[in-house]
Amino acid sequence: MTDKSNIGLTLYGVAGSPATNNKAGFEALTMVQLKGTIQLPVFGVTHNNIEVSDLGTGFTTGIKGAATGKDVSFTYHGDGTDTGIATAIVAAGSTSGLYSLKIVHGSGTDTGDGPAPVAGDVVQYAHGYLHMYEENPKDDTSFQGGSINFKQNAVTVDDVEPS
Amino acid sequence: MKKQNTPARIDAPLASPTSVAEKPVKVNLTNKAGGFATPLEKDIDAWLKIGWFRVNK
Repeated sequence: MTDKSNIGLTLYGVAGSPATNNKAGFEALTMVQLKGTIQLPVFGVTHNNIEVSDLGTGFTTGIKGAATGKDVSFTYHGDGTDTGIATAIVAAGSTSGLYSLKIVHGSGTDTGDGPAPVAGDVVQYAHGYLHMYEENPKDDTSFQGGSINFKQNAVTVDDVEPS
Repeated sequence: MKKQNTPARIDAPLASPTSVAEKPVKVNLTNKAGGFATPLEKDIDAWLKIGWFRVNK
């Protein structure tokens, strides 16, 4: 196992959900890069715990309940006019907010916004909705940018960039 | 006993009808939020059910 930093990770997205929560579904979507990201969402799901108590043993056992997607934020710098960021801001303010995301561990050519994805690169897909768009504080110690929350609505799909 | 002449064996495969693999047909879709997708025609029903619709050309 080789340790490596997260530098070079890029984020892609599109307003809407795929018909199927798998690689084919996500790759059918036309995603654009959300440029200028600082912190990417960490995909994942958690499960409810169902407590079953037993008077005889005096022990409460936990059994695994239903899954729910994480609600995590991602941040960016800039004025929000980047095409990808702009679609996310609009989605965060819309009624449904449906949005699909793809995190890419790219190894291709970097034209100024991170390495491009090439076939075989590790990718992660998830869909859900965006909400809680917030600009950075407007003071003399903050830079222009903002944060948006992503509520995941299905399990994460781990795969590789198709050829 | 007289040896019979047998015709030379031909191992070449029999000619088969030429078949051209059909290229998967993709459909252009959009949604109310301005997203675009190009799923396969065979999967189109599932996409239309969740709010995607065909792009008019």
